[in-house]
Amino acid sequence: MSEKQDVIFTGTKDGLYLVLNDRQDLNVLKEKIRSHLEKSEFFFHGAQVILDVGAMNLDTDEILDIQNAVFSPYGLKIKKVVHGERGGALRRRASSPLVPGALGSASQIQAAGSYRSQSSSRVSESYASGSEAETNSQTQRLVPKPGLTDRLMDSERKEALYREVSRKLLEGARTQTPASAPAGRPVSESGPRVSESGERVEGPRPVVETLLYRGTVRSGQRVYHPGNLVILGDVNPGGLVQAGGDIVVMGALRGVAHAGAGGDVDSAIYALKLEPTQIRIANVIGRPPEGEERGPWKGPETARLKDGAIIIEAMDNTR
Amino acid sequence: MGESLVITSGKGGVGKTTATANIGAALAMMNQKVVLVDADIGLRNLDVVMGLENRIVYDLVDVVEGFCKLKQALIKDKRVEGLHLLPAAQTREKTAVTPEQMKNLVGQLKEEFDYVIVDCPAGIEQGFRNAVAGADRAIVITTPDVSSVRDADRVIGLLESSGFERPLLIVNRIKPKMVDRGDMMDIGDILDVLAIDLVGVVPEDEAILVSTNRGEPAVFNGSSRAGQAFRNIARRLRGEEVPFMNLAEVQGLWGRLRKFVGLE
Ligand SMILES: Nc1ncnc2c1ncn2[C@@H]1O[C@H](COP(=O)(O)OP(=O)(O)OP(=O)(O)O)[C@@H](O)[C@H]1O
Ligand SMILES: [Mg+2]
Repeated sequence: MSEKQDVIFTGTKDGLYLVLNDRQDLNVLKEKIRSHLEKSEFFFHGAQVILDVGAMNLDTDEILDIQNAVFSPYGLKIKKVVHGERGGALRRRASSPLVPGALGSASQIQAAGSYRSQSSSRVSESYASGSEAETNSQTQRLVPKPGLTDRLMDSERKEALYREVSRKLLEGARTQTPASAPAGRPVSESGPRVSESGERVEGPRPVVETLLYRGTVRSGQRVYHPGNLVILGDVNPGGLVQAGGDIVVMGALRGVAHAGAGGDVDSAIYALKLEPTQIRIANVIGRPPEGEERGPWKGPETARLKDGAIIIEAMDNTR
Repeated sequence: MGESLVITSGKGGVGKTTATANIGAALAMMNQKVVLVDADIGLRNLDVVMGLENRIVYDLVDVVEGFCKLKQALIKDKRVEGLHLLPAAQTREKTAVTPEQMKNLVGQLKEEFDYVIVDCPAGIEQGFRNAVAGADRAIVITTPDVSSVRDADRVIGLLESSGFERPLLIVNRIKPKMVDRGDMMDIGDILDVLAIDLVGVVPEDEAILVSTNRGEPAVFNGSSRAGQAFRNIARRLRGEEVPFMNLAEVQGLWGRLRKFVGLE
């Protein structure tokens, strides 16, 4: 095509530049960035990006949305936002104001989901990919299955687990509220320094929402969500679940799980049955040791980072 | 109005064609009107397994392209009343047919037959999409090995996302010795991962090989264990309750992986 490229990634001595075509629609741009990142997932991982928006005037919500919905799942952070520093060649945008409200912080999940699925139902707003999702993400049925939860645990145990899980999730949510959260969770920490773009902005801190995904994540399928992700089912070998925050698998985790995909080293992975192919937390990748005996099932376990290494612990139900 | 079933697997060579021929023949032996559709265009072999190769005049692509009437392409199996085959074209490619055309064709066949059973090619590309297009129910077949189960899982995901309510599972080539030892861990493990309903377990059986080479489905052979398993599957598909071999002991040992080693 003779048209100007909409999305250009350039490595410079200052870091990674992402130059956006300021005459393109923001949603189109987000989609293009995603498909770019999709192809180069681990290449960029952990990189800081200088975002050149040309003549576009993005508000805080829009920038946070790019961070949370587009960058975080791939471990990218916006370092600063500039106007045409490198993209000087970009022409001024005529005037096609972006619709603010449409991308407000309340709709972050939707923005993430709008990538392929326009569905309004909350659950289906997750992004399930794989070849079938290319054509069928709209029709993907997310049906609850009588999962391992029922088969493995007596109700008392299950109860305790649900308590633990909800405690953890609530805790996660609390640190997101604007007033509390001095440190915040890295998802908000990594929020862009919008002021560097010349504007002083004070907006709400991003709210990390939790997505419930009902159903088994099968081989070749991928589910990601910028916030916390709860899978009500199993994650099978060959399946991939990714979240900006924590991941809870109310079933068996046998595939690959990546928590803290935006770099949050405090993220954790919980599973009723933890026997993954691989676990990733922030930038750390762990795999089970080769040839280790699989003992009997001992209960739900947690994977988290400690001193830069992934450790597995039994989940403490007594708290 | 009959029912259409597709038999699929993802991985090749796990027994789709064998299952199609045997389940179809078993249903016909139960006085059902059955047509087997070979959707493996370009690599047809259902006709060989059925021993009907030398009677092919027209094939599925001829029907779809209007070179002949549907009736003309159907081959009647003389060994059992009500059993028919719609052969695949050998000299064409999978793209010679579209999912829409398959859907149409299967729809027509359902008006005439009690069961339309579609033998799916291996893979998840167009041949797969064609084969599942007109099916009401899907049967996924796997052997008890990791790669076959993985592919079955992939296929189940695809089936679920294209609207199949609950695919059924056949585990093929279980070693009788393992069963005798009560060592059926594999089935427990497989069910654990795939989490769909089991419709049959077919043992490894030399009779299948012999029958494949002779062009005589094993269900015609009263002493074949695999034949018996396929007859049971046919009965279950008809809604009968047929007990499984003792699956109560299948309880898996829940595995766990304690330590993780870092990756560079
Ligand atoms: N239960 C069994 N016991 C012994 N041999 C078997 C059994 N099931 C299938 N086989 C053998 O495995 C081989 C492959 O079977 P079949 O052709 O039915 O597989 P398929 O899934 O249709 O393969 P393709 O993907 O190539 O179409 C054949 O040689 C068949 O005889
Ligand atoms: Mg075959």
